[in-house]
Amino acid sequence: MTRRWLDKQAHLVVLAALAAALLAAPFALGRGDLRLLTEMLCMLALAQMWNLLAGYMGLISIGQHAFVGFGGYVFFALAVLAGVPLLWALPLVLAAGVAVALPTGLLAFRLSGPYFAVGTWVIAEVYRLLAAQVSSLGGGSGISLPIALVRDFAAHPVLRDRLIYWLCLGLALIVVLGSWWLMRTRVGLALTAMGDSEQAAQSCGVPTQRLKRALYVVIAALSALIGALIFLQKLRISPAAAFSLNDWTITIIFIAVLGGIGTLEGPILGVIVYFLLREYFSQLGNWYMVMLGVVSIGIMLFEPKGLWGIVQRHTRWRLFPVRHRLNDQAEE
Amino acid sequence: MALLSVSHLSRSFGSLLAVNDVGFSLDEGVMLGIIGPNGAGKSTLFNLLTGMLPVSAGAIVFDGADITAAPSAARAAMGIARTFQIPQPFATLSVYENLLVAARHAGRMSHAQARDHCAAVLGRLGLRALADTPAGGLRLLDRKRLELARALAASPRLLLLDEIAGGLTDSECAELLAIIRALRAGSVTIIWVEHVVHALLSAIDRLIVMDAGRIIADGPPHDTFQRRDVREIYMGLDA
Repeated sequence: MTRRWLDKQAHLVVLAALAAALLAAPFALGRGDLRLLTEMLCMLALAQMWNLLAGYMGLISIGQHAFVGFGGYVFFALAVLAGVPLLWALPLVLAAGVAVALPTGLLAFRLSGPYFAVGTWVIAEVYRLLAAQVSSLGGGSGISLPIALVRDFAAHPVLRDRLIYWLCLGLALIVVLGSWWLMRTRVGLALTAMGDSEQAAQSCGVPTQRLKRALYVVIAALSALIGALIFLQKLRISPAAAFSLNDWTITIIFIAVLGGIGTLEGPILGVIVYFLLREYFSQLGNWYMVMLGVVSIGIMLFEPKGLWGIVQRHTRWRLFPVRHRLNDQAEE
Repeated sequence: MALLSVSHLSRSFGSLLAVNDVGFSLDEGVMLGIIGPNGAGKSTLFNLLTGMLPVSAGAIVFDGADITAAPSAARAAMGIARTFQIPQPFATLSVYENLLVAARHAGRMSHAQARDHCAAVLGRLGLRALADTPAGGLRLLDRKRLELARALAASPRLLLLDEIAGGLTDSECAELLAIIRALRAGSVTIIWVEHVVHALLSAIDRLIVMDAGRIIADGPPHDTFQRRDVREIYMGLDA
């Protein structure tokens, strides 16, 4: 009986251990490693959200950098132009994310399929050009955070890195555990159904359009918040860095595809493998990019379910179980 | 009062009138069959009734409410369920989870209610043993059963069956027919579009024949099917 209970709850034990280790990480890691882990958590949150959009709802957005960049810029604008304390600026960024996602979604949702994908990209490009027009934020060359506000946020650089890390960890946990919670509810069931057949989902009473729009707005707002944290760590922002298609969309898609689209575990596996590849091979320069390209094409051709798909061929264990079973005793 | 009433319903695709000034009303508990040659407008009519296509003209009233402009999901929640001619299972979900989607959304049941209800529906359709298997791997008869089971999981008041017997062998067809006949005891109102006429005629109370977007005959099944003009158009017989 105890054995069986342990088998069934093993994922909770693993999750609790993982969360505890991450929470304590700042006391064990050096500054460089901690900053790397912070970056990983931000990428994980972005990849998990892209996975919800594309993997479950079929909304292939290649314009998520619009919201990352927007969040970063609103954050800097609040600090530089209005002198808002950095910690107070964060919830305002979240609200601004909702405010910009509503009209952006209105525009993007007029398009569907490949047109939606290209449309989101074009919208992001427009935001980048607009950001470069704001001369009080440094125009095309960008601007730094006022040093006084940064000192207010945290007096010492080590403390600052730790605070940013914990904020990113909190956000990543909210996104990952929130996705898990969502996928266990009737909404999650509907999202999976929509991915298989949107028409059939509608005929089962799922308001697919409303769900898509709602989730799109929530994800945009959280992406803006992540953007604010990313550029808080960097202390400097520019249109090219903030609205980088490569950094905040292509890499995110790579991570999700590598780990496994349409699963909650995939992006976690993907982010770990991506950072390992980057740490060991990025000094190869162009060959590194070629290698990433080959890896992603290989995955799409031979393992469309990604690395987690390979794992699932050997074990039925899930880190985030979401399935509903009727005949429990039928379990092997 | 009629459960469903349709008046002057039309839908055009460019210059083609796929559904042309169709009107009928349907009382609760009746099983209505619709036949007609390919292109007669049967599937378009279903898509208009379920809101998968917007109407060009006309009105649809369900249970006293005008639903002409209501979205699909809202109509499903009001109690209109359908099956698809080409089964559209949620392939990555299990058979049981397929039913849960309908029960939890269109049926608005709590998780506990939905679980009991879905288990009962699966039992009635002989799918209980397959409940936890992925829906993507089912054979054709089981896919058709799943279509029906998922539609019933919402506890619908009006059930639209789109060529559910198509592609089945005679014995499979008989099996499905027995299930559909049994539904009548549960007082579900049914509209059934079918090419397999012998299966249809043995089950329905009323027959509508469509041709080129119009209703050309409407009445008791056997008498209507024997009408000369119906046989001419439907069977391609020369007078």
